[in-house]
Amino acid sequence: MGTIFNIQKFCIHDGDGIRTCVFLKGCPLRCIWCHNPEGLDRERNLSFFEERCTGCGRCLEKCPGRSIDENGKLHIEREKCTLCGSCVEACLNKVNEIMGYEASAEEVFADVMKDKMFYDTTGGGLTVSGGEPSWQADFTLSLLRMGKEAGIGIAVESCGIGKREFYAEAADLGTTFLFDMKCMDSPKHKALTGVSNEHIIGNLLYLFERGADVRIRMPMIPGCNDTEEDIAKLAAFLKEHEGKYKYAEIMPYHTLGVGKSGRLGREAEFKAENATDEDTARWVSLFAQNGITVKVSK
Amino acid sequence: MERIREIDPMLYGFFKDESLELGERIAMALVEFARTCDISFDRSYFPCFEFASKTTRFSFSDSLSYNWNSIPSLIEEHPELADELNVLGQKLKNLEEKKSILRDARYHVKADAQAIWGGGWGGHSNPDYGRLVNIGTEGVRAKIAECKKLGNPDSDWFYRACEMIMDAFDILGERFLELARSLAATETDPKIKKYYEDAARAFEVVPKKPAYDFVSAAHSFSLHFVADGNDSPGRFDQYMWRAWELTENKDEARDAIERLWENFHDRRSWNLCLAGSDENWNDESNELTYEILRIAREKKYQTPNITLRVHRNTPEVLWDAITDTLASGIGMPALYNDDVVCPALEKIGIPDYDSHDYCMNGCNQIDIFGKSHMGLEDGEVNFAKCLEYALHNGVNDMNGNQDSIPTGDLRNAETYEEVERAFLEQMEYLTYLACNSANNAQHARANYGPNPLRSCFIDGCLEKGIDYRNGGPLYGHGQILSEGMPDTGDSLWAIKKLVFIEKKYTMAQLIDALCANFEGYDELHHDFKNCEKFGNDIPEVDDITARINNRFFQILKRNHTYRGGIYTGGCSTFSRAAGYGANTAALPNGKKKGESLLADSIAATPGCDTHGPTSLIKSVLKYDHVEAGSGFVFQNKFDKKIFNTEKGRESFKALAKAFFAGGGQQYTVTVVSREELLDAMENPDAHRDLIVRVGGYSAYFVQLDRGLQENVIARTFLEV
Repeated sequence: MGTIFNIQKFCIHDGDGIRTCVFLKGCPLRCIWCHNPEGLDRERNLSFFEERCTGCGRCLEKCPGRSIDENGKLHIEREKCTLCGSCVEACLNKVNEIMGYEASAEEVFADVMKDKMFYDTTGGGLTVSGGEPSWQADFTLSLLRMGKEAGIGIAVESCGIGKREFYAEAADLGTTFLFDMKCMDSPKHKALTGVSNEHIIGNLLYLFERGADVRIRMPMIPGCNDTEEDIAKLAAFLKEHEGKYKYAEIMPYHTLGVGKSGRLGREAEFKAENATDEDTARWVSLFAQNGITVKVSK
Repeated sequence: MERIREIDPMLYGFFKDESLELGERIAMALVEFARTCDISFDRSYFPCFEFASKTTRFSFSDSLSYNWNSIPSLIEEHPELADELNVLGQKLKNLEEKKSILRDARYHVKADAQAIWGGGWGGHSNPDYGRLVNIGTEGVRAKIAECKKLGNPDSDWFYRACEMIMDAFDILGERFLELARSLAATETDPKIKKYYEDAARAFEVVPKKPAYDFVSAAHSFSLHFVADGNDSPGRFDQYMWRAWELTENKDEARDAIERLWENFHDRRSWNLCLAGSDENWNDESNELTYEILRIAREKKYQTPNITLRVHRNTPEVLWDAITDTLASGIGMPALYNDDVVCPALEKIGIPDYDSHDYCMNGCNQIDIFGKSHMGLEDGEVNFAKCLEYALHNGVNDMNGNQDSIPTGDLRNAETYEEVERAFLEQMEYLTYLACNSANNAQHARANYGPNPLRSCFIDGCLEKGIDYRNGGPLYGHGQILSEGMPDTGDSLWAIKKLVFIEKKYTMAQLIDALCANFEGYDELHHDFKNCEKFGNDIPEVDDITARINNRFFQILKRNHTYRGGIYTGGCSTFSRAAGYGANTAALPNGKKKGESLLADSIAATPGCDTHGPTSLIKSVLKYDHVEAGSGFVFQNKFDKKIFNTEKGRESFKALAKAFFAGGGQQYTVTVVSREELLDAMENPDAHRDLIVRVGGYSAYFVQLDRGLQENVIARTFLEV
């Protein structure tokens, strides 16, 4: 069994062709800009969409952790939440949502295979994403194995933090790796993501050595990892290993995760503006100055 | 009468000899008018005139309209003719009354209740515009003479009428020749002078003889197109191809198409159909196909509606041109799949050498170019209302009247099957009613609105000696459209699941809640509203919608049209859908009384398909598209950004091709509009299906914070 929080069809920027992305819960990194905060915890979470709450009080009955103040505003004490789901059922406005559910690899894969007709003509298939797929390694590998047997494309989007065996086994299956690189400077990497990067880079070099299908993805966050030096270092690494990966792509920052964090009761401490077209142009040109052509994710 | 001739030649022509058949009298009116009507060249330097006088007007949809209402104003201008005009007015009134739809009270009740529509409007069809262009009136006259030998002896008047139509074209041609010559003589702007000189040269030849190049073809085409009432240009790239090939100076030809395009736009012409395959599946696209797509991209007009026929051998370069055109955001062309449409037509008895000549009339109904009158649009059946009748034993829940047949009190239903059966009985009954109503209307139009002009340009009419409206065309099938299918399927699924599988509610509770418009039944409403919906690739839900629709198609086939064909089904939602929704009571899919939203043709009810385009496509493929002889409409919505990357464009093409390979009939792409995004901010429930790209990720627009929504709107439309 695995814990997933979404299955998204018709993904066209997460590997070749038309794909279905399966998002797994749980990630050991804590990137300050995380755009998928619902994927951070391995456990399920309650998402509370405050803008939709009318303060009707229907959810109060079975939940001891909720109250309404004199202004009709609802308060939740999250520490009392047992994820029982009674508020989800009671609410008529889709304010509450339990993020994440348990599912067997077979169930998930059956859903993925519903779109087989689209994979066949486009070279698409399954992409396991997250969260961090390597954090549910057995589950991810089961999915990848089923995909391989069914003859569809298989890919993982990984931050690179998993155990070496995970990458080895996935590479044996012929998996495409959409591999994140965030910062070459290890202390800085730790400050931004909570972990240092030696193990991550080790895994990447391992995949290079294996001749695996690797595509590099670099989230670019204004003011965080986009100094000239940051980019020069990334570019130097890419230059050194040119030919070992299919392409490198930058992913300009967007505030998508901020709202979602709030709904999960996670105060987003990190505040950055959306990357502008000028930011993107600057990054592309800095990479170019260092001899690296990068794609820009749309 | 001579005085009448001076003040209203069309009226005079029509009443000149009342002993004649109506068709012949109409032709006489047109000849009389062709002699005297105001003519000019329009801003595109093509012929401009209108077959309309104060009292009558000729157009494809109505033939001659008997506008008796305007007689008093004519009398005001000419009081000395009051007696004579009053007599004619009374006669026009009698004719108009007889022609106006012969529906009896039975039909009216159902039409007012918005359960069915059976107007049998029968407006659009696709006359062969290539005939005048490529064989001229001389060629048509020769055909009339030949056919006369085949035709029945009672048809002499019909052939005389057709010959008069040719007289009218010849008269117009001569008058435009004169006009062009005199304008050319005085015009000083060299460019415009050249246009007049070209027109004069053209009218020395056309419409009598075949056009000799593209410009002369465009003039000949315009005469026919305008006289007929600016309907659907049809397979333009096919019938204009000979003239295009004959033209040495292609720039001149291109200029002529661009001018025609302005004309199509000004006159709000209907449907132009490009490309397609012949019966051996050879691709028929040509240079003109690409020229027209280019012009459509550049001019970005909403009319004519462009249809493009794809098939197993459509070249990749044409797919690219299609994608470019869609990426321009005009929402065209609509794609039709020959691999499904042609077999669908063959299924109703149209041989392959004709089925491959199909194109669209009006918005999107299927006709055979120059060979059929398949009746856009004979009628419609509102499935949602049929379900309402079934749930209330034939009573209209909007007003408490027993409008329809009693099919049993479902409060006591013990199985789901009883519910579905009651619905099918209602739907079957109302479908018969719609067909009968449409037949009455066709009958009235055949008797009181013959159209000799169109009879000259649709195969079968001349051969049989029978008018276009009266069963002359080779194919006279009828088209009845279904509306609100997914709404009905979703409702039936919710009943099946919540009442009969989970047993959370009883039928009696549900019906009470519906009668109360869900007031006081919040939880029940919430549960029914949030049941799984059509459009998300959930087989148990989709199967119901597909099943009831296929049943509808079978019922239709049992019904014959007045024109001499069978009824076929289709689904495309027109403006009437909002009325259907507004006049349908509360439904088990959560729709409340008066809410106007019904499903978007064969696709999901807006906001209900929340799993993206591939899932919607899979659901939609559950219908049997080969049974939809009248045409399906399927819209997929995309963020404009999908077309901005090579990957996005490839993915779009792959989606369309997979849909067609899977048996899909028609595919339309809508690029999400700014208005829609703004509306989604205010009414998120109706737009739960909207996906936008945010920072490299696809996200449901309604799930975004308000600030980010605003940002997306600003960004998505920055480059438009």
